[in-house]
Amino acid sequence: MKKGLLVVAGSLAMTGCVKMDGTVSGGGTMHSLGGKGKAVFTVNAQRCDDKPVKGHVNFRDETAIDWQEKGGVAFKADVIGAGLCGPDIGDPADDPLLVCQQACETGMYQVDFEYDSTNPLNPGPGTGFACMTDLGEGINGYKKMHGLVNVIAINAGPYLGYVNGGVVSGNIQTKECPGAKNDDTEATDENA
Amino acid sequence: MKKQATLIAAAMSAAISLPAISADSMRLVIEYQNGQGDAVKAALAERGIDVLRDLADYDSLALNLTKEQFADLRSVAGIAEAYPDVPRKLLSTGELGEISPYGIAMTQANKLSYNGGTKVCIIDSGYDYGHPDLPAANVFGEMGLSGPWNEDDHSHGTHVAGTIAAVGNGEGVVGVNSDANMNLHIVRVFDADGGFAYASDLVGAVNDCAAAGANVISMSLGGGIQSPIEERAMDRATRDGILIIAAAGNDENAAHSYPASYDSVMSVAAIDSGNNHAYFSQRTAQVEIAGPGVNTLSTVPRGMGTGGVGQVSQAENAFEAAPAVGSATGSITALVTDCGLGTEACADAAGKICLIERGEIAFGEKVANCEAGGGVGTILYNNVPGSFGADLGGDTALVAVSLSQAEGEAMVAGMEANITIQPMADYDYKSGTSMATPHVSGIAALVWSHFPECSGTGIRLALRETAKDLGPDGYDYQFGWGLVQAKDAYDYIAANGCKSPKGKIHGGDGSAR
Repeated sequence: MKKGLLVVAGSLAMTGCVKMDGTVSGGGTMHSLGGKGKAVFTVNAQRCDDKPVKGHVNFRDETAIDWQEKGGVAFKADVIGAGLCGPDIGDPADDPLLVCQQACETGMYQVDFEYDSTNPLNPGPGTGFACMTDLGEGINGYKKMHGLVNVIAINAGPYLGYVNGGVVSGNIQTKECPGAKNDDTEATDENA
Repeated sequence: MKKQATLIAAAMSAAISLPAISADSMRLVIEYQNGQGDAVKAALAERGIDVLRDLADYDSLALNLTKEQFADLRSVAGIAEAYPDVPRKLLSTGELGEISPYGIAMTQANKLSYNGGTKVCIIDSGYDYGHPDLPAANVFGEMGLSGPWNEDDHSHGTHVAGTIAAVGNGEGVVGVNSDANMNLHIVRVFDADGGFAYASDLVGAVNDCAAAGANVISMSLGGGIQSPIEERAMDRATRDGILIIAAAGNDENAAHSYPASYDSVMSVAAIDSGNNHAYFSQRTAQVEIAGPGVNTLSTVPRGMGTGGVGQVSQAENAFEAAPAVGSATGSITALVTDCGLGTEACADAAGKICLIERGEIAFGEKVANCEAGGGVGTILYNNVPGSFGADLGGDTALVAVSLSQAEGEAMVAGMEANITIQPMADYDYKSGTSMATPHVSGIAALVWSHFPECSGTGIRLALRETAKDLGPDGYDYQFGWGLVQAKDAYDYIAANGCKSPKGKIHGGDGSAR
């Protein structure tokens, strides 16, 4: 374990993040974008081996104050990009889709999605991304720490400009892909 | 295999990669189980873990951990809960300036006098104790981790304090309360850089304020992520009768900022001298009231003022004017000539003061066109309601200031006027919900001083009830209930007494979240 931690300490000093294999699942509530209510969401996504990225996001924030007069923000989305953001050591990402957003730092899980609005008063498709941090429900399960949506941002469609984030009442779990095994020794040997 | 190994590294950091946490250490709040405090502290000491704050009132400790110590924390028995210690920052936007304590008249603070007794606790970057325009007799503070309370090598805290309490002594500026015997308590949580404080720092600060007998706590600071222990501290202080007031935030968006968006805290939006919503002021359903927060003039630590203080006068009109950044200082008296938008050399400017409307070209070009026409001074005025600050993008030999649209339109061409920019090293302009907040905090203390029987909640409801409605009719997310009004709040309580409803008071429009 100590060797693994040394890898972390060393790698955190580097810049740039790329998406790596792993899964995320969870959901719950967090504060609305400025409104009185709660944003409610579920998320699941996985990037594993060479299989296609897959997953879904459901999101609703009825009191987001720039949309609440028309029923708020509500959409269902398919995941088109995903991964646990890690330091770009050794293998520079040649695919721009593998590069994490600047807002998604090492240790956060990024999900890119294409959505369709489920609010008939704000219809249409769009795109967005979210960065989330597992603070203790998943692989690093610890005490009663909650998950964190570092940011969810909509960059196209009827909810363009929606940007929110906060502590999750619920959970965010990031995990290794099914069947994956740790190999601290080799990691340390290659990166020490 | 390397990718897999890196995944493990990243997954480890998932638990510890929190906002604003450095690569080498992290800040965490832990809550220990009842009666386990001593055992937990002993266990932490054995592991060499620093306790930054002992928050015994909340069975909690604020820690600074290395990543190795974080992993080791798992073996400590008696910990009930742990969560990130989230950062809080100062909420002023910069130095550009329009002159004034214009907010004093706007908020009716000039219609009421401090009656003694109430105390404001300012949680900020310190206080320039000994400043000739700030009270000293009844000002005390806490020696914090960020430096001595009675010094301020940042300037934010002294600016906030001046808005609350600059003394009416015939020089400098006056605050909402101008009595030299005003009671203040200073808790310093920001250092000279003004970077970040943490939620746990605020918990300690609020406790210090309460212990000092504060009636009002003023926090011109905030951050985007909630903190359970911070909310508990705010709730507890409010329950105990304190009124807590905080800045809504300057991020130009609709996101909540904390502590302002906790229900137990009054969230303050910023407006300019024309009652317009400040573009930077965050719009949320927790915004409760508004105060002047654009180009507000107040005290800064002695010698830290940079821009000087401006004034324009003509006949019986005298306007506080914002010195343009890059302007010369001095005093010019001359005839005024109207140069329109000033897009070319002003034809009739020789030996005169150019009056130029904002728009189309840069401020620096407008002043250059005045000078090209032989002008000796420039007054730039707004093309929309409200005030603004002008940056010339370089230095000019002319004295140049800016006025609001209404003030500019009141200037008469062909008549003599005077422009003065006087260097004042102990004063300066700042903008932000940080500047709006002390207007409300000061007025809360001012009104409360006349009704010592009131609770914080009673004062809060009176301020809300009597705010001057701005924007759409009634409550709205930009202004809350509107601009705080001191005399109207006083009259309201005098007529109706103080309301002290039981149960939880909610922020914003008063409805539950």
